[in-house]
Amino acid sequence: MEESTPFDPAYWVSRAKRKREDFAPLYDFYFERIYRYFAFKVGRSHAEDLTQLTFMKALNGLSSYREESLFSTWLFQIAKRVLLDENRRLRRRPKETELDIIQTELLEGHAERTAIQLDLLSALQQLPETEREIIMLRFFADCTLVEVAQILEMGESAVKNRLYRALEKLKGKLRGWGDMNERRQEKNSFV
Amino acid sequence: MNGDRRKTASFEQTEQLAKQMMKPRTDLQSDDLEREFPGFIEVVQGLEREREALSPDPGTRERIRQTLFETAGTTKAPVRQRRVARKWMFAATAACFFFVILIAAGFSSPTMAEKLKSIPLIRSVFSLFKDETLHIAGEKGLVTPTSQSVTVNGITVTVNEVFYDGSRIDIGYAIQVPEAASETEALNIARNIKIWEFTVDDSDKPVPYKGSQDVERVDKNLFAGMKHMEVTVPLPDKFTFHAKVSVGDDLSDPKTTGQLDIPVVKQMKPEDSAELSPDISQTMQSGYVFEVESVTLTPASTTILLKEIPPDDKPYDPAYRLLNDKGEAIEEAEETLTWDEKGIWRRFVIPLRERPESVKLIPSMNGVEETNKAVVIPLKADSQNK
Repeated sequence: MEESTPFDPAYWVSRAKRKREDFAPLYDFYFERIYRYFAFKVGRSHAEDLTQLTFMKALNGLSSYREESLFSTWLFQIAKRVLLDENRRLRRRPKETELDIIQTELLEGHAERTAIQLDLLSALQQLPETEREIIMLRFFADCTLVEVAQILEMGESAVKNRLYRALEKLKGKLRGWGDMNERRQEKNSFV
Repeated sequence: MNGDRRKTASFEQTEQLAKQMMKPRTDLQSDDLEREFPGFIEVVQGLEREREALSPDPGTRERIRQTLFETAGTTKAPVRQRRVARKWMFAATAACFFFVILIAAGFSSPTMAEKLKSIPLIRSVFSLFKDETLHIAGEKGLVTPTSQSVTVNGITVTVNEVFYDGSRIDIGYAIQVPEAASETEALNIARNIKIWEFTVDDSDKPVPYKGSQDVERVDKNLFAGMKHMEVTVPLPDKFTFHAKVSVGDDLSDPKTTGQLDIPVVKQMKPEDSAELSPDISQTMQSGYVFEVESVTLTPASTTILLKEIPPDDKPYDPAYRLLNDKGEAIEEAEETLTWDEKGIWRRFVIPLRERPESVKLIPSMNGVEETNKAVVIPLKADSQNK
């Protein structure tokens, strides 16, 4: 039986610091996680640009990474900065056309999803910011609890508790809407 | 009593869930969760479906990888993709319509056909991209029109304008992909056209630069492209820029490689531009320091380069607001952040039709503005040496 060696970011970081091309395995390993982070935050149409920017900053700034935290934490912190810069840029340059495009694309993306997914997204949007961030990092960006705790600068136990609470809230909201839909369907069937 | 039991049960559930969650998500099986927490499975499955919907297309990974590791004797810095403004799309569509009419007229009149040869494919590529500095440069006559063309593997690349201010070079070009290619194929081909390996006049030495290349569709198989470069070595005011044009990364195959000889002229007098080094430094309440490293003045824009020095390794989120000498916010500033071994660099490029006497920079940290730490940067060229 084939045995796979777990990916070791620290090893590839030390190699990439000496040789730029050795950043490729790190890029491959983290690409989807970073992309999904942005896809959730700003929509798929802008996720590509921001993902590229994040990896470019990481590659160019690798020498400044002191390895005091996990590489993934450092990378997500860059992604957070990129996102803040992007939001700031959009606020500063509220060009109607650009905002129109973003909003249209977001709406088009949402329209493609099923009603259940819309319910889930709506439920997610109603969660407090930190809980939404935990869910997003955990389920969409594939972070472990340790990584989530480092990225959000929270204790691990606090992350655990809030994750559990967030899942409970999501479940509660989905159940509530499900009941409402069932009642609506029953009502319609009598008409 | 019941309350305590409920609290303990809830704590145990949290702990169990946490154990599951300590694993990387990719190693986590939904059925593990189903067994341990049947109550959450619906939510988790919903989140997993959403995760799939947020996953990238297969081509995205490769596109970014190419940009990330592309080397043309230089490092390519990220510059956000410029989007073609809608109004310009209308203008381009109208121009294409006009073009078709002209071609139709060309068939009926030999004189018209002769005239058609001299009409560039797209009148101004720069006007199609949302870059205020280039628009101002166009208005002030600082853009050099040209019509250098090369055909590689049936794909014609025509450079039709160049902007050069001493450090920044922008090359606007059109890509005509053969009609036989479908729209999707044409887009892929246009994105794969690379203009690189730049040399100056008779020198063989590649010019080091940081830059980017953007492509936008104008019409079915006609694309507008823009190569943006920040050169990091001094170049003459007038020179011929030799560049390789390739379809993809392979420069060894002559069938897929061509060359362009682009005339570049700095369309501004030496006295029109200046580089200032004001001695301005400020320490914010957190100990975060920013220094005004340089101010570059050109007729089309003003660039303020800040060097930032964080006090420690913690994450900081500084931001800045720019005001002109009348206290009005400068909204158009393009802000980029880069890091290298020397530090953190923040560059504000402000497209200016009329330059104010000074710019006020108000810093904020983590969303809290520190007005008492604002600095005023003079923009008068005569106050500094060039």
